[in-house]
Amino acid sequence: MNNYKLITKQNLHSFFDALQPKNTIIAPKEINKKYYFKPVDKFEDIALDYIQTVLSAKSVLFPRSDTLFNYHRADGDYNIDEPSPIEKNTIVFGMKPCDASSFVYLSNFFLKDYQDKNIKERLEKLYIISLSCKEADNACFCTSVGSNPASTKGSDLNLTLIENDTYYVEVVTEKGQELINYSADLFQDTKEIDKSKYIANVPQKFDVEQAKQNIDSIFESPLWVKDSLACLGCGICAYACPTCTCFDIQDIGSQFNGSRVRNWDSCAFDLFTKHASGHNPRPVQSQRWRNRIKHKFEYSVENLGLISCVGCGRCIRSCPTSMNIVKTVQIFQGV
Amino acid sequence: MTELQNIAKKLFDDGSINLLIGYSNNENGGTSAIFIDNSADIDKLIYNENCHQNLMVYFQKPEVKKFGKLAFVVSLPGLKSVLEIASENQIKDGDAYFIAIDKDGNPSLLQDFHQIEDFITNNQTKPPMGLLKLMEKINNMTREERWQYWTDEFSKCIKCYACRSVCPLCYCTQCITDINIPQWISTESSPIGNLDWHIARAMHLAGRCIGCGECMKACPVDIPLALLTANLNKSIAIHFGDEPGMKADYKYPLSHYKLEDKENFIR
Amino acid sequence: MNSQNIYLPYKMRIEKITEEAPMVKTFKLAFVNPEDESNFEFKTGQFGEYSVFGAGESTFCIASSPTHKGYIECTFRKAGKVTTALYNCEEGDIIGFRGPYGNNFPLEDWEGKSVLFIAGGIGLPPVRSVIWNCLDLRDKFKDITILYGAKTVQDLVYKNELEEWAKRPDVKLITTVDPGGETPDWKGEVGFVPSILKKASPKGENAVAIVCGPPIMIKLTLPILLEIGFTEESIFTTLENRMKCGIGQCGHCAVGPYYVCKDGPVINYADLQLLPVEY
Repeated sequence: MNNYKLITKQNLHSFFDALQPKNTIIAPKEINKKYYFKPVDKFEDIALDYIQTVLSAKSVLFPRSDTLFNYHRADGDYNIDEPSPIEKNTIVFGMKPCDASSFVYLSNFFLKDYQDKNIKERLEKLYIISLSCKEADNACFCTSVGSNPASTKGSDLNLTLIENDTYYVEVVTEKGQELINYSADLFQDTKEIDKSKYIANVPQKFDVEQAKQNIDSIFESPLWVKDSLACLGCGICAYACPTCTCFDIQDIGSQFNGSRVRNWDSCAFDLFTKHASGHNPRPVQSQRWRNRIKHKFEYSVENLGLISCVGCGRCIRSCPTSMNIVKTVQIFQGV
Repeated sequence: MTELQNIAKKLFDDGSINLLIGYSNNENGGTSAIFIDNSADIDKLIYNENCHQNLMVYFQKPEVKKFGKLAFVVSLPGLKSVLEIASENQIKDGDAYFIAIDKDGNPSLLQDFHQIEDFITNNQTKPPMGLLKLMEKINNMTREERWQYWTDEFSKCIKCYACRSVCPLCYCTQCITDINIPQWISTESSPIGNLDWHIARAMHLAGRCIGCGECMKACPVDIPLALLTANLNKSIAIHFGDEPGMKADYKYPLSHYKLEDKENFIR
Repeated sequence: MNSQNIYLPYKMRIEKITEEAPMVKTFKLAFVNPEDESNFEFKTGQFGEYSVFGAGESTFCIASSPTHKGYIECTFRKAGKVTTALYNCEEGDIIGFRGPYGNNFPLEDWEGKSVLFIAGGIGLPPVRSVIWNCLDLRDKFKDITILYGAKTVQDLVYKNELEEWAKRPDVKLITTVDPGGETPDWKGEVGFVPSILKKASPKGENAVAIVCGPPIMIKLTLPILLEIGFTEESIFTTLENRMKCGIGQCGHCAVGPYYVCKDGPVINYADLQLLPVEY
């Protein structure tokens, strides 16, 4: 339904002020020269010229710890209540196009066979305003996984800074139009423009179709060990990743009162696959790294028809041992 | 060839080692660990001030151990880790070679713990100013302010356990977080659950932490973790006069007693 | 707008607890809410998530047959946090159950064939569900042979049912215990399951085999089954990876693109060989 508008930076401020009272707004905020998605209530707090946040915005949909229900023991029986997963409509303001596209994957994943209630209710109240990238860094590789720094995939509204003080606005969905309607007079109609000259140049680092094929065909290879010797098996890559969805289910509380909670988990952890007997189907780190790569480029394609990597580069930037998914893909592509 | 590369090459040429773990430049303009299993790759070996990762963490990694005889490129913190894990019976004299980098960036081959002890004594450095200042600031806070400070810091934690993974002294085959009978550390990420983990971690490193600061550098949400262990080390130094990572036969004060200990309950 | 919360368990009352073997108990569970019971259906081979509030969830099969209505049974060994909490439960206690999940044994395809059940130790519960299902539809199958082994006589589970099956003329039951595990009055075989199988050598033609037990038993039993004429497609087992959600989302049980919880747990040997060995 794309239609096109312009808004000045000053009016964007006013637009924010119009949205703010009725919605929860999550936006990138600078903390000690790093960027994190945080709830904001002032436009000035939003970082509009960042390259990437440390952690993705997936927690808006799929929080680090998510209460599935609460239980209370009474007269030998249990009463169960379900807290509302989301109160107000939530707008993520200024996420990058790579992140916006991750929400397409997430919604496919969580609503495919079994509809996850918490995720579904949050998605219904979620609005995404993405911001095309002016700048990129070495870790960015969206163009290698079928996207680009101004992609509108997954966004409700997409903003591209075209001149110093003016944003080109693409209204991508009905939800985007709903947001515009908060203060439509701040926007000015325009025609479709070529965004390419206003956005970052992100060189393509591998051919995704080729990568899928190569990774598909290689399970046993000494390269998996060689390439993963540095990996120490922490959970940063999975926790920073906008499309990693693995989780654990645990009870918090006593036998009388408590909650059943879904926590993030990572296939990089030794415990992830370990049986109660002590047997571990993936006993060493190279097998866990292989699982991560193959899941991103092979298994999720087989199961959902989508690769589960959006090229945001977070895993590369945050890995304490500089593990690099791009390098791995290139190795298997023989680049 | 640099001097570092020469030393490394010689170790391969005379068949002393099967794998050398050092530093190289990476694709993103930084440096990272390189695992060299034959002398052909030696030209990638570098050392500069950006090479900070404490590579001794790999000593205990099963897939690294498999290679056989190892050599490590290590600066001061790495060497202190060697002595600390030696004092905990995790490494024996002669188990590995160490190419030590001194404070001027010059490499030399150290072959036994005595040489490492001398090297450490001659290459002592002060902890970074920023860390000392922050420690002073926190120590000057009131009890309530300090509680608030750490509660705020821990509330950011996402329990990715990178602090555990990068630490050469966190080598338990089964971490306390992975034990659930009983569930010592709650699994969720919440201010209290996170506090569980960070207190357990700090206490397990009290008087053992050699201060490489890797935990803090690895933390994606910038929790100043090294402060906790540094402060605990300070208390232990005051009470017992001991410092970890200086001697291979270090007697860890919290697990050893001395006849001259002032407490008499232990006698 | 409000979709069903897939993580809400059914509340189940423990009707009966049977101590099967050291550390092994069977629970007979009845639905607390009658409407849950009337909506509930499962097929043999499916599993569920059993939970003790405050301890969490644990995955195991439904050990009763779908032909036995009104209740489900589960048999578990006290091993981890949740099974320990379950082990400590008493009759009358309320626990949680989510399910049924996963695929099932294709009983319809087996009609007119002989069925060979091979189980080791705590591997009998999933097989027991199929055994009763077949026995309740006895006319549809030819020979039914059950080969069950455990470390010691004490470790054999479902002792009453073993006696019952032994008495039935339409079932051939072979029980065995590992050498050294026998008691003076033990009347069954002594030896490991694979060698006892070889000795018995039931016919593989027009037959299917269901194998469930410790990995080493399965590994050594498969070649013998092929030797005595079973095809790879006619040998079934049920996989047991670590699981959390049961619905193909949490990622724990994934073996390559295959989710044990959703695409399994029942799999034939031919298909099993297509998977990476991550189980």
